[in-house]
Amino acid sequence: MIDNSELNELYQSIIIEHSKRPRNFGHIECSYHTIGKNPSCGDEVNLYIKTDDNKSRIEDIKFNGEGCALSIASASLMTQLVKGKTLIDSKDIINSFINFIVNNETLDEKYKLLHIFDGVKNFPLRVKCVLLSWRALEKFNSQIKCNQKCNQV
Amino acid sequence: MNNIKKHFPLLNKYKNLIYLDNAATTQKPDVMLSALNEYYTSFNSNIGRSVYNLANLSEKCFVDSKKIIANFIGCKKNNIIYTNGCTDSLNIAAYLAKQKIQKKYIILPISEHHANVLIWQRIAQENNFKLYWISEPELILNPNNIELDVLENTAIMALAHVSNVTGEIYPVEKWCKTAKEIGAISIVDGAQAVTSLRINLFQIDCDFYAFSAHKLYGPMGLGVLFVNDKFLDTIPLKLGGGIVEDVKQEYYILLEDITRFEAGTPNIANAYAFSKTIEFLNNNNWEQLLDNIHKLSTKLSEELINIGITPLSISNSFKKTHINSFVLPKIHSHDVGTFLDKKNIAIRVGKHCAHPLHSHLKINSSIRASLGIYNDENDITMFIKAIKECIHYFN
Repeated sequence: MIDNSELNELYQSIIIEHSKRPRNFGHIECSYHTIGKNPSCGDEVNLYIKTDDNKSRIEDIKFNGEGCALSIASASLMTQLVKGKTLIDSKDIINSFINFIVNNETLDEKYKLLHIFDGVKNFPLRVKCVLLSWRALEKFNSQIKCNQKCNQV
Repeated sequence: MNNIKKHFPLLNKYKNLIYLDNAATTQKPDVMLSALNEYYTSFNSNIGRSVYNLANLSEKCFVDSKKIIANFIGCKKNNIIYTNGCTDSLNIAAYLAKQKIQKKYIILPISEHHANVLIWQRIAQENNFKLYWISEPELILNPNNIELDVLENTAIMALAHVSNVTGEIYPVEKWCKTAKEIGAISIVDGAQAVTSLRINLFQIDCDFYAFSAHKLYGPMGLGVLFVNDKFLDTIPLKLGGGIVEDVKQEYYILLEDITRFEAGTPNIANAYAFSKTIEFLNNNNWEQLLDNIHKLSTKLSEELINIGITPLSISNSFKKTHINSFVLPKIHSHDVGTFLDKKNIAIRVGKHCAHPLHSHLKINSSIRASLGIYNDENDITMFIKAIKECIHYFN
């Protein structure tokens, strides 16, 4: 009898489903573009972000790139959560998730869907996979004022 | 458990572990571990500067270790230096080689490990030289067929003896011969070859040959560099104590032999322990151990092919050693790595410090299984079984 319980904890069915059919996968013309890189494995995620004119709200967000099941599923869920949110709210989501994964802090009830990544805490070498797109969005948010559109970042 | 495995304490501690990451580092035999202890409890003292008996014993450990290692790779002890590892060896080789560069091309196969790439990129950038990458199998096989105006202007020909990704054995003797004919310097990265082939530097006839001890069941933090006599007049990368005939206030005069390249206190304990590792390999019939690794690796490769997976290679023309890398369609290598980890199988995933090769093969990353002297048929069976389960799990 094969015991895959710990693997199933990591690769929850929602994660596998998102990795096979990622939401918001693609590219947005004339948007902000930022890249997340994972030098140890060479994975890259491109984020395309469209904001309102005040740069205060994420009107649309898409991603593409190559990555493992965890990084693709994580990017997919992230884009779902931050799409339509103000930048301030998106920062709150990012901080909550990073603190949940890295510092084992409790996840706010409104982000409970992200609990599916709880299993990664038992796989410290895979934390960077899950956080790849989140770190990229975090970097984008911190540089938003000086970012330029049309993929000139 | 095969006979040799019982000599590896870590593998006895983790009895269920199937360790297939030997191209990254190898496990350590008990004789090596006890030699480290023996050195520090019986011989520990500095060499080259003292006359008391303990220092004599330490000196003997050091000198004898070089004899044993030089004998193992078919060269003279006065042509090898100890370094911090293979990367360190290659950095030193590049520094010495560049002192004699007068032409503009540096030829490299596309399969090189970054340890044999970045050093040349820096030298090329600093001196306006050009890297000339070879990806055509025919030219790797027959480097003398590289276009003539490139060969005539080539300063360096550098390559790995065995690829750390494909496990292919490259024709280093031909490369070194071509280098000699065109007046270029030949540099061989032997990191994966020393652990999978019987090395004879006399036959290879290169200018530099680099490898590390830890991939050959020895301690970490120790490397070896073979330096051809004709580079004994170059300026060392590292300057310091123990390498001079004389020092004045304004200048220094270096020793004329290879000692000039070993400034400071060498890693005597590791050198001694490494020599005991080599004796251990010799005493356990190294040829037979290598033969076993090759048979297992061929079996692993055949079994992968049986389930529709083709190991990566540049060409079918090259024989292979202990390494098989591959990709699984639609499953990322990191997911495979985690899956196998949960089956107690240690393999390597990623680009294995060979980005140019992965770009050339048009793949993002790969899964690498590499064998050592303690692996057996059961390891292969369990590995293939786990790969099948992994494909099923993620699809």
